[in-house]
This record gives sequence, C-alpha cells and structure tokens, in this order.
Amino acid sequence: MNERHVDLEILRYDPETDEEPAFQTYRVPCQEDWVVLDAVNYVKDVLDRTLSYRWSCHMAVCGSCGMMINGEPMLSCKAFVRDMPDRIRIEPLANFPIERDLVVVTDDFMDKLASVKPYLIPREEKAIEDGAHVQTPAQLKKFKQYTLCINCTLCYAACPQYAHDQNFTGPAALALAHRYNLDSQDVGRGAREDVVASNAGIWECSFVGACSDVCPHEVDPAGAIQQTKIASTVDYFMGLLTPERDR
Amino acid sequence: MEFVQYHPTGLPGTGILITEGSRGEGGILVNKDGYRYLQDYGLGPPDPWPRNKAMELGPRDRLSQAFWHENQKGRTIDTPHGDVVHLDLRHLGEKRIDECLPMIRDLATSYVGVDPVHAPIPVRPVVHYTMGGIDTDIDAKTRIEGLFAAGECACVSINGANRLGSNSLTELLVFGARAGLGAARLAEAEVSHADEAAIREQAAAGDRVGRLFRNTGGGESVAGLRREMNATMESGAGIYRTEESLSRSCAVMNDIRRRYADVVLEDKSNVYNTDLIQALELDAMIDIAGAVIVSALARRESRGAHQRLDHERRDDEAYLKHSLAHYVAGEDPTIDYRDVVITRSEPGERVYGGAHK
Amino acid sequence: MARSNKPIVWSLFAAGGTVAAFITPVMILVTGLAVAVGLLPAEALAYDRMLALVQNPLGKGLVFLAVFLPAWHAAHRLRITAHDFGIRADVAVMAVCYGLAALASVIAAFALFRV
Repeated sequence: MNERHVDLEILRYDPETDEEPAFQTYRVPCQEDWVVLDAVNYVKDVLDRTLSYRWSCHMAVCGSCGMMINGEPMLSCKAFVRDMPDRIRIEPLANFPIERDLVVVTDDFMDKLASVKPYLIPREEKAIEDGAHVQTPAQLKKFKQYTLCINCTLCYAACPQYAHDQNFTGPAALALAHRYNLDSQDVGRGAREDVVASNAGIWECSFVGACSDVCPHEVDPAGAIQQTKIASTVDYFMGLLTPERDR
Repeated sequence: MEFVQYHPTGLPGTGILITEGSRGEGGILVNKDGYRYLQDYGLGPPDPWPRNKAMELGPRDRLSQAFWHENQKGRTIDTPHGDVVHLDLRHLGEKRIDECLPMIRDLATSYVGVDPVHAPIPVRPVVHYTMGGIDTDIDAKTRIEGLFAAGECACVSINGANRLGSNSLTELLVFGARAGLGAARLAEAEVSHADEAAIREQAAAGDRVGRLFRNTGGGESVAGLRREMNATMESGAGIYRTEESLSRSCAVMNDIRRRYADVVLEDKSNVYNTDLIQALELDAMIDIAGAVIVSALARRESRGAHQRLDHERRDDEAYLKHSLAHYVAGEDPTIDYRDVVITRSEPGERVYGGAHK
Repeated sequence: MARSNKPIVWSLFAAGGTVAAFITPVMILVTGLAVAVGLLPAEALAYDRMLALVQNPLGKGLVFLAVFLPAWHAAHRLRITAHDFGIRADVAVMAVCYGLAALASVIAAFALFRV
C-alpha cells in the first residue's frame, strides 16, 4: 500500500490553559485508503495523546465526527485523504462554541431539536389491544427522506443565517419538523407552527441551500424548509379567513 | 460473556458492516474459485435459486464458521487487509441495487473502491455484537439496587448463544423503556436506597481517575495495549477456540493487565479529556476480555457463537446454562451457572437449508 | 414565539418569482428582441394594437400582474441580498425595497387605469 506524508494543521484549544485557539501541525504517514479520521486517530495514538475529538461508527451513520476540513464541514470518517492536498487544515465545526480542541458545544442544537416537538402527535391514542397503527408504503415514501438525518450538524456549520443569528431554528430541526408534519400518523403541524413559522423558524431562511450541499445523507433540509414555507403560507391565509379554526 | 457474534460480511480493513439485507435481496457468497461454498457446510442446497431463505441467509455463526474453514483450506482471497471472500450482487442489476441497497453501493465504492453493480464486494467476518452482558431481570434491573442496564451492555437474556439481526432494536425500545420507567418510579419513591457511606468508601478506595492523573513513569501506551488486546482476542477467542488458544490469550491479557499500571496520562486537562476516557475504557475492556476468556475456557462444548475445536459437540446435559462471571480484584473472574428456563421451544438439532425438508 | 407575518411578503415573492421565471423572459423576447431580429413584423407591436391591448380590462389585469408581482419579487430578493451582503439595517432596507415596489405598483395601476 502506498504511503503519503500529509501535514495536518489542527486547531487546538484547552480552556484551562489557552487564551485562545491556535493551530498545531502534525506530519502523518497516510495509507492510500485512509480517511481524515484515520489520520487524526494516528495523531492521537502515536503523536499527541492530548488531542480531543468525537467519533464513533467510522461509516458515516452516527454523525459524531463532523469537522471543518479545509474550510468545508464534513464527516471526517468519509473525507478521503486521497482527495486532499498534502496539507489539511482541520478545525471544529463552525458556528458552535468550542469546548475543547475539535469538540464543540452542541447544546443549542439539542434545544432546537426539542423545540420542534420531534415526536408523533397522533390523531387519537390507540391501546395496544386495538392493534397497530397502519401506514402504507406510499405514505411512508412521502416523508422517508426526512428521517435520514443523523444529527451531524454539518448543516448548521454551513448555514450563513445560523452563523449570523443563533436564534435560527436551523436546517436539521426544521427538516425534522417537516418529517413529522408529512407523517400520515401525525396531526401536530399546528402544535409545531409557533416555532416553525416564527421569524426565527423557516422565515429566517433565505434559501442559500448550503445545508443541503453538505448533508451527508441527502436529507435536503433546504427543500424541506421551502415546502414548509408553502404550507405555512397557506395556513396563514386560511387562518385569516377562518379565525376560529384551530389547527 | 463467551458468546460474541461475528457478522459474516464486513469490509476488510475498516470492518464496516455490509448489511445482511444484501444477502436478503439475493446476494451470494463465493470463494476464490467463484464457488458458492456454503453448500459444503450443511446450508445448501444452492438451488433452486433465487428463493427465500437461500443458503446465504443461514445463521451468522454458521456463515462465519464456514469462512474460517474455507480460509483453512486456502480457498479465500488474499488482500492487503486480510483474507476475504466475495459477496456478489451483480446479478441483481443496477436498478435493484440503487433502489434497495443504495447505502451498500456507496459504502463499497467509497471505502474499498468496488462498485457492486460491476464487481463483487470483498468481505470477511467481523466482530459485531456481544450477546453476554450485565445480568439484568426483565425489568432491566441489575443486582445493584438502583442500577439499571439496557441495550448491548445488558443481558436479559433475549439472545442466548446466538443472536438474530436487529434484536438490538428490541433491546433498546423494550428494555430501554422498561429501564427508564423503572428508574423514574424508583427515583420518585420516598426512600433512598443508596448506602452513602459505602459509596464514599468505595470511591476513595477505587479512585481510578485520580490514580491515572497522578501516575508517573510511563512506557506503556493506551493505543499499544489496546492493539495487543485486539490481536490476542481475535486469535485466541475468535470464531474457533481451543483450550490452548484461550489459555495463551489469558496469559497475554494478564500481562496487559500488569502493564496497564504503567499507563500515564499525557493529557492532564479536566475539559473533555479523551486520553482519560480511553484509558478508563481500556481498563474496563481488560476486565471484560478476562470474563470472555474465562467463561469460554469453562464452557467445554460448542454452542452457537462459542465454538471449541477441542469440544465440538453441544452438551445440553452439562451446559444448558447461562455462565455468570464474577469480578474478583486482582484475580481471574469466578464462573458459576444458572439453568436456562425453557418455556416454549425445546432445544433441537440445528438443521438449515433444504436438508430438513 | 409568535407566528411570523412573513407569509404576506413571501406569497408575493413566490408568486412573483413564478411569474418572473415564466413571463418576464418571454416579455423581454417579445417586446425587446423579436422585432429587431425579425421574429415578428413591426406591425405586431404597433401603437394602436398595444393601446387596444391595455384598454381591454383583461389586458389591464394581465399587464398589471406582469409588473406588480415581479416587482415585489425583486424587492424581497434585494432585501435578502442586502442582508446576505452584510447590510443589517433591515427596517431601512425594507422601506427602500418595498417602497420602490409599492411605487412601481401604484404607477402601473394608475397608468393602466387611466389609459
């Protein structure tokens, strides 16, 4: 296997000892089939045990290893070194506070997810004895795409609106709301609308589309938000025409 | 703890899983001669094919064992990342693959440079799941009052010596819920069950974290010890085990345990210190590896995922029991047993494929 | 969080975008290029024919929509673009952009009504 020496320029920061973040460079002998995560693991295992970062599955399903790689938010386990130049700049995900080295504080994202009521609000409660809720493959197909989100937050790192205003509910949370709104078993669109249709919700989005560009699972949060704008606009005018109607 | 499932189709090198679904859709496993070798191991006949429950959908332990035998016979394919066989999906066609297995196509293309539409995927058995775990009852309660466990770390046991794919979903949804609800109910009860004095005493005596921070000297690396542990577990306690291979691994693990005392933390930060996390995890893994080996040595039979070359028969009289490993500080764990409770299905002969029709 | 009133502007933006996408290029082709490159005879756009078009109520309505909706689309687009370029004085930007669109709408309505 061919080996190639690559310089990793990694942004380091320990709040206990550092005034501010600073770059540190490591020379790593990379195998042909390595991903950036393999190179970072090499740094930790062999060169510098003080480097902190998140990772888990190494196959782009857990969403833990998001990092800025040469300025682009990517999953480091799916960023192939063979596609990179000899110098790779690695930073923690943009638009999140840095906790330590490549680990960011994701509390705001967790709050945003919770805020859109990401659970089924069914038409009626059904006892187990009454049997299963039924859903056809066609009904599933309508929202299946939006179930693919792995909460990696690359979309938040890419979104210029979130960069400007942290109040923005954000792509993944809005795509998740859309997933439930489209689910035939759910009647909660009205319940979610206070957050989703607020100025910090879908209306903060100007359809830049960077979120969908970086999404590793083609969830297309930008598309979800635009679809929600249409639905919300209809709801809005219907609400004006029939004020007593409570969705 | 001796029961560890190997999944038959992982990518070489990364160990990334190629889902059973690819065989469910009709993928076949062939050796270096392009031969569907599973028919040699009681899983056949290969035809008629395609059909439901084709031999490639045999149980994971049998498929992994078949690979081992093919490897012994020199019929596997040599690659820089180890020996493999081929998972062939070409006959499914591009449309079916894109519709039903798009993730597989992406994984194989990205990580091993193979497009399954045009070429077979190199695969080999990879360690996948631990059937054993923390002993819990049906309410996810452990033997420690107030401690609940659910998921792969727990053993209710719904898996036994062999495990059906996706049972982990059951473990999370059913027992995760029971654990959560049970814990909430317990927390809401007026009485505290914690023996605070005992806890304080244990914490002071243990203080693994403090010791790691204070340790000086060094010379042992967490990553190095971990790699040695991986290697000895794979070779000594893998798909097939013997008294000799297990004893050898036992000695290696005891040596690793001794050398662990010389692990020094390079990272002394109190903020998200992953050097510390990895050191603590290694400590725990060394104990668990010991439990696996000792349980495997004690079980002198072959059953499901635990296969002994020196005890090939299944022995229900002596071993239709769950092994329980008890931690003993500074020594090998002690093993005792609990009878398996049979309610509906009596243990029978494991016969697969068309042979029993 | 209160529900936003953005739908008012956005529905105009969306409708205007649809019109701008489908109608505006055709309008440019027909009014600007077609005669010049010989696709249409000059008589097709003769004054009396155009007058008849905009004196017809249906014609008034269509021409108004072809001006009004894209104007609001452009106004909203310019407002967002200003924001993206870092001009954060949103109220001022809104006043200018929507103000111009409103002005264009009023002028168009007035002219079509009068003609």
